[in-house]
Amino acid sequence: MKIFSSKLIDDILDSIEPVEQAKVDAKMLIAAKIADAMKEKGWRKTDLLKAVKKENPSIITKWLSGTHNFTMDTLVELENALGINLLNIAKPEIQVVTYYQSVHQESPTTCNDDFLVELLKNPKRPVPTNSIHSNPKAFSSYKVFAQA
Amino acid sequence: MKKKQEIPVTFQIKAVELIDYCLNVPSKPLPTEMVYQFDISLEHRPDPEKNIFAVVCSVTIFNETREELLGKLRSGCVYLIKDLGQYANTSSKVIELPEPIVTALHSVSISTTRGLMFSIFRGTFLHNAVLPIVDPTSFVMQNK
Repeated sequence: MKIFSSKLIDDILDSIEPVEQAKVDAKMLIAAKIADAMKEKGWRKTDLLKAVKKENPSIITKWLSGTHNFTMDTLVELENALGINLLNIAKPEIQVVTYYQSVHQESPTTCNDDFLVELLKNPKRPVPTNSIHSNPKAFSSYKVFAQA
Repeated sequence: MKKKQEIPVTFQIKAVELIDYCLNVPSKPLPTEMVYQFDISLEHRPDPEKNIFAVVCSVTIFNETREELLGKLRSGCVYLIKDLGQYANTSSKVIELPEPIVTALHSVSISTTRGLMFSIFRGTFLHNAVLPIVDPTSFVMQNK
């Protein structure tokens, strides 16, 4: 495949300051994040317009163009409307907490197949007294009440 | 007397992962009547932004005298906890869930790991190394 090269284009690209390039990248990235969030929610431009309580539909097109210079207020409004993070500030650094415990078996555990086969063959066989009967309701609820 | 207020905390299990495991063949055959020793560690790895709370459960299995390491297994239980961010302590940078929730998460994670261990070690020399019933409130916390 032939790769097109032009001295003029190379000169133009070289003349772009890294800071300017970073600004363009950031604007494009924000526009892409907004578009992705809208797609995920199944929103059209009018839905976003309603969510941010704006009246001019062209503002959404401008936001999605990747050239708009967003204000802090607009970014916060968009974050709240779309439920996404555009500013990446105040992200708490969360520490990993570890809990430890050492345990040992009280007596040797037996889970040999002969015992299981015998148990399945004789369902009326008395259950050992030290067996634990689980409460079927014990883990069916997914709500736990914490006392304050 | 002021009545204690009950706060509901909603959570659900999202995923169970077998992270890794290994078997260390013992230097001499294990006796048929064997009492195994276990070290259990539970790591809390929260992501408040996504309301995700992962508990990584590591179990190390030793022989009776703890001289020989026989095997290891690490599992991850991923939970979805509603409004997880509200439990973040900004000063200590730790998610401080209410004690009953921590106990419930530990209990589910240990039980799940017990099942994974049985499934993975079945038919090997660790066939009978069934993780004993553990009191989920008796773990000692250590910050890294």
